[in-house]
Amino acid sequence: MIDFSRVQKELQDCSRDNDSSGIRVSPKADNLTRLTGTIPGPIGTPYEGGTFQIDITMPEGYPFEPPKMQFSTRVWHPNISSQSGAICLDILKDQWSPALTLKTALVSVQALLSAPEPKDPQDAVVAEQYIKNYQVFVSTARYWTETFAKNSSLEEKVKKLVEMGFGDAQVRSAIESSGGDENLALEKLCSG
Amino acid sequence: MQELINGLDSIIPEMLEDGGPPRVPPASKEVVEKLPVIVFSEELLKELGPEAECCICKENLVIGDKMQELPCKHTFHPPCLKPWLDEHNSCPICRHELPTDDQKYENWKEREKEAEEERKGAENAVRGGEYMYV
Repeated sequence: MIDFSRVQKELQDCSRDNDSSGIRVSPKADNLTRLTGTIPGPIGTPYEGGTFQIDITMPEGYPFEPPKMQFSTRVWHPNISSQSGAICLDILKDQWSPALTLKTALVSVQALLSAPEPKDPQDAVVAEQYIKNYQVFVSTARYWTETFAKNSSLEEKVKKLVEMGFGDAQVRSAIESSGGDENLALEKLCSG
Repeated sequence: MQELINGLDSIIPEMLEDGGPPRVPPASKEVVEKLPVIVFSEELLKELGPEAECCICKENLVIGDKMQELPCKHTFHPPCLKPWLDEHNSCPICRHELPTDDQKYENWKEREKEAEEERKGAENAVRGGEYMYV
């Protein structure tokens, strides 16, 4: 049985100090078994400037079993599957301890972004590139960060489309009706 | 053929077991039963502050709480600690290991400890040698 009172407390603690770390945890539904974690890409790494989302599923035995974590933002890293987002990290497996929390686990995931372990890979292709061709690895990881982990804000999207010559109100309604997808909004604006 | 397969079935797990460290067994029931229980007192509250909590349930400690103390001095509510020590043998905070009832695991740990000391001994020997040349 999940200790929901503890999960609740963890969420409160997280929202209290999210300013300093940038790490956030929020529930997906109101039953607290599925959550979303957010971590900023560490400065000085190819992930800098990106915001990475992690799907969290709470197991029945929490906190005696580790939370299941998986990147939903695509990321190019030796210990994270570029296909599924699965994470290879000991504390999420046999090194879990009930003294750890969602927050400390996410801090460890963030640290993993700074310090890849290519000898214990989750994604063999990425790990091989990391070892054999580090510069190419860095630029690929950076490109993936740019492409998948930088979600520009609504205002930035509006500004961009207005600069293309569309009216402000028209742009806002197009973005809204395309669920925030900027490319889809542009298509709508062009066709209509 | 079937015999061969059956033979493999018994050999493979043994081969696998021989490799890495074995699965860590739970803490010894007897040791857990004998863990000292301390009562969270006013002095402890002063010493640890009002933010002191049980690291498993994350509840703040209140005066009168019974706490089980591990040899590493970390304390937990007994009902919080029990499910963990039923499956593992380590302190949730510092991973200090408690003895287990599993002789096989204890033997393996003993061998590891000796190997570790040997490695350290070898390192020191090299270091000692370096000093001789300085």
